[in-house]
Amino acid sequence: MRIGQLAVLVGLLVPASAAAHQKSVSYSKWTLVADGAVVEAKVRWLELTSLPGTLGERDAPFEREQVLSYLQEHLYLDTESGPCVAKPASEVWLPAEQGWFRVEWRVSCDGAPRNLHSRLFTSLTNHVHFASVLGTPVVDLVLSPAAPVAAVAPTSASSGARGIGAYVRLGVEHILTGWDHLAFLFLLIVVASRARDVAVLITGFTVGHSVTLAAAALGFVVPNVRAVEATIAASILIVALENADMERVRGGPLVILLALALFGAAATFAGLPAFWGVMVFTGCYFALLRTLGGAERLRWVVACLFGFVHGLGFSGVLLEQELPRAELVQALFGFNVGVELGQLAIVVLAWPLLRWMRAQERGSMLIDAASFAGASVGVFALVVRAFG
Amino acid sequence: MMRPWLLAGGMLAGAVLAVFYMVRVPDVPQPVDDAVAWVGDRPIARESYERALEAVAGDRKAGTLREGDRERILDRLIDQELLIDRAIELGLHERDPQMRNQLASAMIDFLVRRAEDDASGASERELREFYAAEQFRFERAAQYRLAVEGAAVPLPDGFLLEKEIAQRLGPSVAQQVVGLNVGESLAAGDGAYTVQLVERRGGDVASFEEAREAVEAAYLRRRGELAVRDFLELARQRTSIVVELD
Repeated sequence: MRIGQLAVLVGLLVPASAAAHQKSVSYSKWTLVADGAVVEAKVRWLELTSLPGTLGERDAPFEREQVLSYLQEHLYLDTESGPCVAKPASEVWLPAEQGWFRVEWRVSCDGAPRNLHSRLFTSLTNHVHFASVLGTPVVDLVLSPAAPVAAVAPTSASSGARGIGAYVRLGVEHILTGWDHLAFLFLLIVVASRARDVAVLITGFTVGHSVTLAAAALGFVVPNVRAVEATIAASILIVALENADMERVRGGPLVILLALALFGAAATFAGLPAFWGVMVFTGCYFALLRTLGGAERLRWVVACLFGFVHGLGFSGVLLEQELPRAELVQALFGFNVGVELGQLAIVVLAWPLLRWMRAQERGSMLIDAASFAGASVGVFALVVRAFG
Repeated sequence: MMRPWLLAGGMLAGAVLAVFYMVRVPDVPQPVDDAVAWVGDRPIARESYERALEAVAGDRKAGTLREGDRERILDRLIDQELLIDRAIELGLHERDPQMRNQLASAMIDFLVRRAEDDASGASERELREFYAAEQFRFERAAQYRLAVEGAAVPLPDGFLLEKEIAQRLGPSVAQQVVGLNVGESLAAGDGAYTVQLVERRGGDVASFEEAREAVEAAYLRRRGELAVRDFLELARQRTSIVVELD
């Protein structure tokens, strides 16, 4: 009973929305011209609602003038003699996707532009601003509240290294703030008893997500974001059920059937036909576990297969940045290194602790609690992502 | 108990099915190997360039290009691409009424042209069936030769259409003339003069052979109209249209 209560509690402690963990992002393009630059900026309504007082609620129309003056005040170039100045009445509102503002304006600079500043949405600690400066050469910058200023004309020696560094940081941030990836990773290692097992699982997961992250980021495949995010939620549920030995315990097959029914409902009623495949896979997987009498031999396969799906999820962060082709390989490499570093840090910190807890008198309860919590979180996220 | 390899096969099948619906291979645009220039990632086809050169040469008295024309024409095509890019970026096609009208007209022209191209190879049987079904289109208007007595009303010596009679003698006289038999007369101008129907011709349907060109033209026109109507009906079915007029 206490474990059940714990599962519910953990379920309630997950982020209020189980929707895919979108980063807070904004974009700008700066075309350098003789007397300054032409700026095109794109921001989301959702971020604008975080600004105190001045702007409306999500469904209310925003005052364009307010948005423009906020952008012009908080996103600017500077020169040696001071900030560039926005030219009055130079703005042109451009069409944008639902939920976004896109506006262009001109700035005049007293000298050659030196740095780009983004002080947008500083109250959102995970906000990232992606800027492209279209000069010679094109310079891509990643700005955040922690690093709000960057040079627009870096030296050739520093530009590559700094570019990769920004994407490594982005990868680390993504894995550390991606509760769904963390939950899956945690559930994978929570039952591992030896360091070698952990290494095999993490390698399987890494190989899986690296392959699909590269395939999607380089444009070889186009992921269906909704199906991917819902399957990531399903992966948490499946591993949680597997950790709890559902194929063997009394009443377990019924729980597996309920999970299969949920997958069937997602395929039928939520327009996610990929879940027919997830359903077949899961049914066969648990039947195989029952036949083989344990999951140990198959866990790395599952880690690798679901790694493929998580990799598609990771790629969304890179894809939404509209990176130029030349930057893609560098960005992909940096981002993947960041994800691996973040992942490694989590495993290095968490696994010894988990091992120690499991060795305690009532340590087996840890796996049960983690399994129930994982199952509740997985179901919750799946329902929200598929039907929400 | 099922065999493990069968279950492993089931897992594989499930995974493949899931992947099939989870990702797709992007459409690869057709490679353009005859571009004369690229504006961003869009090519300017050699064919467009050659057409523009021909048009300019055709406008010249000598019928040949002058020095610098080629560069100027290519520049103009590049400018055109840049302008179109910007127009799309600004969403002019969504908010400029003039451009919207032009787009709608261009779309209609496109549909009509495509339908006419398809219909240009219509068989004799198709044309005859069309002629039989739409004979009213090929009726020849009746014409009348009149003689006026008792007044100096200027009438040409040949045949007149009903509307020409109305212009000269008035609508009520024209209406009465249509009802006359050849040789009959009627009093007009309060009895001041009489109008006699001397001869009548037409008022019948042209034979297929006589009207062949008109039949072909009408057939193409009709196919164009049908193509536009079919497209709009289909588009209305596919699109959710909510009318909120009171």
